[in-house]
Amino acid sequence: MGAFGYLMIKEAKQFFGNPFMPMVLILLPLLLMLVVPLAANMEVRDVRVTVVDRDRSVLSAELTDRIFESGYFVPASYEDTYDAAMDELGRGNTDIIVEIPEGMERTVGRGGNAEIFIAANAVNSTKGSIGGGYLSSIVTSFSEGISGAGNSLPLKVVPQFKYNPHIEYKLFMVPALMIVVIVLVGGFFPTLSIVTEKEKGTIEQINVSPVRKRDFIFSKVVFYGILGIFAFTISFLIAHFVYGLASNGGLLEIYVSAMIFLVFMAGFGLIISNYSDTLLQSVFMMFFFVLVFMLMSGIFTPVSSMETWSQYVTYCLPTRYFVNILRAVCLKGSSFADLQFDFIMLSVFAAVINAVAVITYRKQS
Amino acid sequence: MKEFFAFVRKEFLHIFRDRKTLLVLVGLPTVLIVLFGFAISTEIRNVNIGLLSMDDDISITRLMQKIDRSEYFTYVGKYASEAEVDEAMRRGEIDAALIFPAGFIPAMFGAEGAEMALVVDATNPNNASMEVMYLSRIVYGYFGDEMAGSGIGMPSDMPAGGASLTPNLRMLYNPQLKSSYNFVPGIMGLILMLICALMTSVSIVREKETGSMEVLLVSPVRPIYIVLAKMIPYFVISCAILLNILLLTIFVLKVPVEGSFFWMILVSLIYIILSLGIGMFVSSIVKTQIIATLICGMIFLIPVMMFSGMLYPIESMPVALQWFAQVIPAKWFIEAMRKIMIEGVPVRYVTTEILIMSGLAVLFFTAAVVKFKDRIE
Amino acid sequence: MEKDEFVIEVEHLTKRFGNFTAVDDITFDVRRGEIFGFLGANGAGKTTAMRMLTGLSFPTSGTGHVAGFDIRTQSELIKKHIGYMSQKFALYGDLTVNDNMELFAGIYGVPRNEVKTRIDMLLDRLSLSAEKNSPVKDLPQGWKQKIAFSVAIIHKPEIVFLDEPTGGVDPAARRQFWELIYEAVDEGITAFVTTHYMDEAEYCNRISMMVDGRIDALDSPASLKEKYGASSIAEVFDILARGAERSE
Repeated sequence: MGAFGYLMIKEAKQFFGNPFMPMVLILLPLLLMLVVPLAANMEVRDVRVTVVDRDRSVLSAELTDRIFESGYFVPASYEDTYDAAMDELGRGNTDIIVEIPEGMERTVGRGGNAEIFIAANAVNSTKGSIGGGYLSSIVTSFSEGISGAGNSLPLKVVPQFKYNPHIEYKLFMVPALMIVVIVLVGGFFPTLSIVTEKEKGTIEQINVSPVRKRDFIFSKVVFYGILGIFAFTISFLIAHFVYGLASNGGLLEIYVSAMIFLVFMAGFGLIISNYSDTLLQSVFMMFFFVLVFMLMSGIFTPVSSMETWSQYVTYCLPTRYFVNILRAVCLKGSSFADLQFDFIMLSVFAAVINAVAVITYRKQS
Repeated sequence: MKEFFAFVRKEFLHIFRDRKTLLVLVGLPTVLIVLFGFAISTEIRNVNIGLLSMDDDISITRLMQKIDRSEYFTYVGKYASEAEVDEAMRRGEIDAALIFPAGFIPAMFGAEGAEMALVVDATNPNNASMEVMYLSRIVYGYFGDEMAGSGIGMPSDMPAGGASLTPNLRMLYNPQLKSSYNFVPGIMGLILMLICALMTSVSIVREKETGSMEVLLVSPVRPIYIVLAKMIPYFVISCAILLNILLLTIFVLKVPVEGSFFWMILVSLIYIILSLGIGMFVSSIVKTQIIATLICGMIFLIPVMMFSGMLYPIESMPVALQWFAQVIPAKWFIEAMRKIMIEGVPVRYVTTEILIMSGLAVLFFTAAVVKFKDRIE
Repeated sequence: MEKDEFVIEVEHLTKRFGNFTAVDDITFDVRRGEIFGFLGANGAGKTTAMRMLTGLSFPTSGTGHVAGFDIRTQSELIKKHIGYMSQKFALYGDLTVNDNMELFAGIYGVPRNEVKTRIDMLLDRLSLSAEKNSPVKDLPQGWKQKIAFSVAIIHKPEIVFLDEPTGGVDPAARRQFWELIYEAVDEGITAFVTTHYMDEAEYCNRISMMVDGRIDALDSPASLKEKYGASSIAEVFDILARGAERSE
């Protein structure tokens, strides 16, 4: 066993010596994979509707019933005036106000046209547009019902939701959370451990020893890489058995991309540690880049929705490729052949960042 | 009092000497707010559409041209079989495809009507729903016009003669449906919490680790003043960061401030104090910087991102998590800011939020001071 | 190897940081088996000079050989033949005494079957066998320094570099520490010690005195005292330091 082996043993002893760290290693993937998908949900469901029925007629009651029958909306309250409804909206107790004008039934009875006023709180634009849009389509189809026109067009568009037939938001989030696990374990852990060695001065003791730069870096990369794969495996097992992802195989694609990405994160962490003298600095830099990696690359919100210039920025983020690969493999059953570009880019990032890491790690000043 | 100011001065010196950290403290929020303000978005754009049609009908070609002209969609090309469509979707070339069966057009003009399929990649369910909504609207509208032109049937979005109801949909507070209106208050909550709590806790724990805290504690200054002296510089820096963020939000991201400026600042200041208190509290219970980081990072940062309503609406969560969200300080800040900044409602609508944040701040500070005293005795 | 008398040979060694010359053209030799004291006020350039000799820092100009290897080109080979103990205590606090010793024995390539006996022997010598499995961070400062020294010589290096090894401990502990150095020297290890305790200089075979990055005097303690007509090394140092421009 060479120096490398001894360094690995040392890392293991240090890591498992403090029960806090192994606990984080296990709890992190469990919580991320089991609890976060419940919360990380942009599904628009149970939209709260306040009805201001100023007509109080049979027809207005039918319309109200039709709205809540859809299963999409839940009644928040019934108000007498629009102002009272706005008050509820301001307090955050309701999302959409539907106002049925006075004399609607009479107008419609005379064969006239009445306007149903719908006001959606669009601060959350997804919810506002989906909820509002769906509500107005209910009103339209209700209107067709009363006018007796029926479905006026002999055409039916049948939507098919591929890869996620029940349009569950969870399935979108779970592959992304597997990435968060690697970012945290593979990126933060080694960085913190190196900077601590710097602050305590133990790195000096290693530097005067015959240990090669290479071995010291590798011992950290390999050790935390193993932990990263361990945590990733926990999250993969959860993804597979709890959420039923990657049911068509793709194990190889998933693990190869995870390995490449781990190598990237480790190299990245090394660069941060090379450039910081204190833990505080390294932590801030790490958080900064991790936030960029997580929020900019389509992990939580889709890349295609970004402003065009920021979409170009995402090409510089390895997480973009990794999240593409994981989502495609887990949900669509894509293979290496389908994802060549992403695999190549991910590998390029890993290679470049590690070259930079090795260059910047200087033993001799 | 003189000793107190000497301490405050020392703390300022610490911070200003460490240029790298200072740079990060100022640069980080700037970059984050600009990047995320522009980047975090859930609007649909640049949706690539494919076509699978058994016939070469001119009206289908025109439909595709119409789709391509709309701001959301780009027509990529025609595929020969379902297998090809499937492969293109797996490669990520297209996000949705229109599939017309053979004899679609004649069938539509016939008695029985026609059916077509709209296949969408539902990896991202929301985008898929919106794509379906917009695309079907275009398809119905297009064929409606076609048939109206040929005198058969009625366009669906026109009042069908006689009695009808017309929905008049208005998007309140955010008529252009910009995602940034929703996310910016969240990003502010995240950044302020990250900087204030992490900065305070790690730097205090650092003094503990290096032993300089002991030196302070044996000095004649009362412990409570030591705590305060540590807070003041961080409070000042946090205020500078807040100002920076607000200016960027208003002038770069162009998010309007609809409500009262005064209350917006006040709410932010309460939140900053609360975050500093959390940092203080964390520093009083942990011994090493790594653990302080992990606690602030994993126990505060992730929940702020996931459970505070920053990205994901709280009301879509399971009830247990909705309860959990109530104890996340950032949740109250984000709600209050959304109401004041974006909705512009009067302050009486945010009294709950303000009271809760103030209560939490008092709680954390008391806990920190009590813990701090414990340690000395 | 036996025939070369000098284990460290340095000629015109200089290190500059920008405009600041930390080490200014120093030349000296260290003989095999001696205790060489490297004295100077704080900031005189001792640590910088030592960092160049141990391969941590690259010289601006001048040449040097340590254990027969060039400090410019063969720093990795030098590292195999030296031991190092820094003023900043640098063992892993969260590991036990035994873990630390095994780690460094492993890093320096001590044969596996010898590691255990070597550790037991060293701990026995320190009378710290009972603390073998205690985490290092729980031990008193004086013990930590003794352990750090044992770690520095665990691979029987030709030269051991000791950078302010006795900082922060009481005189009794310092005397005990010097006994350890003597024991190591008896085994044939050369000791290169920096210190600013002038009384410790009396324990050395030869001492050099650094002022403002230069070596102003180099000889045995007795000869130095005679040359400057002083009764102690501290007095010699005061005479030399009077001309210093930078000192704290």
